[in-house]
Amino acid sequence: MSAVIFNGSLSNQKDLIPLQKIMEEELKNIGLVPETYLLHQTDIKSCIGCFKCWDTTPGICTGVKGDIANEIAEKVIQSELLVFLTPLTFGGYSSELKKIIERLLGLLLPGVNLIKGESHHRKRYERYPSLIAIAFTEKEDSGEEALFGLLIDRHSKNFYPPKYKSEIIRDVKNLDSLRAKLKQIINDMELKK
Amino acid sequence: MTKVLLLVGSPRGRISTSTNVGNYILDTIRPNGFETSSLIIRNQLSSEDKISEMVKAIDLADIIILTAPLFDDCQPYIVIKTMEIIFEKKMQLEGKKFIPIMNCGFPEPNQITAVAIPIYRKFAETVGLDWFGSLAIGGGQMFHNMQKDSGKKLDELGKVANLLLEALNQISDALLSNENYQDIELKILPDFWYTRIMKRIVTWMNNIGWKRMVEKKGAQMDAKPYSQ
Ligand SMILES: Cc1cc2nc3c(=O)[nH]c(=O)nc-3n(C[C@H](O)[C@H](O)[C@H](O)COP(=O)(O)O)c2cc1C
Repeated sequence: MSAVIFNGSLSNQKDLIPLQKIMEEELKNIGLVPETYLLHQTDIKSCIGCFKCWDTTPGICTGVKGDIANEIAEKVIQSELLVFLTPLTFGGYSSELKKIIERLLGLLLPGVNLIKGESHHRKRYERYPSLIAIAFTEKEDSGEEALFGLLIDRHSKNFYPPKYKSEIIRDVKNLDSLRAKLKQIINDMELKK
Repeated sequence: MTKVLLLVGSPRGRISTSTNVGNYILDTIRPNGFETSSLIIRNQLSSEDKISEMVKAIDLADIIILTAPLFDDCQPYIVIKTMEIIFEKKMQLEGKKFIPIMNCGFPEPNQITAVAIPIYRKFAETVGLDWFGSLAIGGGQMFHNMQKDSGKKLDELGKVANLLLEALNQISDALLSNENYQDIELKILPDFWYTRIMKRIVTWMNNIGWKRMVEKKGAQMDAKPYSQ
């Protein structure tokens, strides 16, 4: 069983590295094999909004060529858990994380699924990975924090994780408390060993 | 002369609803003493020189209109990248007016106002831009479909574009009178029409439409290329 970790830090940011390392260790401890993408060092091009992954080669992006986004999409859909790590960026994702999320559109079907009267994407696959989304910030801004939670709630209505959790982390220096926190989050996912 | 810069944040580039709505506003205000220019963000991010060119254009502008689609409940990558660049460069933006306009595929504009517009607000607050007003356009993909093949302008689309044009005119009027406007949430399918039953019908037709379109291209819409 595997987990995919997207580290969305920008090239000049190191804060998410300890988080990523502890996350990897704790996932291994429960028997998951983590595969991490440090996104700013990974060759991923950005989505061009052509919908070829929906209408021409369903499920596979052929509008953008010459990178490993399809390979990553395959690993995501075959995993038990997807982890987003991002610097909190005006309440949302960093550009690096957002770039790969957009390239996962083909994992969903075109058209509409009405959920409580609101339009959302439809499932292409039976099962999607659970999601842990962690944003790092040193700012005290409850508005931005709430926005991140809301973004992950809405994302989850489209990407169907069986379980999901979003978390804001401010302190990445106290490694013991960071580990305890991540352990708890992973535990809450109730992933099977 | 007041300088208005249109930044088009659609990853589709020029052939997009984002371009068309932005151009409509520029065309309306240009004869009234505004100096207008536009840049396609996708192209501007292609090199350091182009990024500098965009930064300079932002620096020179009095009013920035940023049009973009909703991607995964928030701004597209290229727009977030632009916001990060503006933030990192610590640009002096005080006094510049900011008008974010966003369109999405689903009919409900609250898909946009839930998170993406508040993200723009946080961005504007952080970098010192003045919020002039925003516009969230539900069902914007419909206009792209109609315009892409016909090459028609928004005001040549007939009745279907009336509500959209009304909202865009409201923004142009606000610019002409230099008075902020209330954020607009535009329902292309109005509530009295888009009832529970109509939602089901529209959804059903939309889903059938996609299936047929994909089949016409010789593919199977619900293919599962990756084993699980
Ligand atoms: C990767 C991707 C993600 C999208 N996510 C959403 C979404 O979350 N909600 C929505 O209503 N539309 C979504 N859309 C649809 C676009 O918002 C829609 O096609 C829009 O009209 C494009 O505008 P443009 O022509 O200005 O680029 C998405 C499209 C793409 C390609």
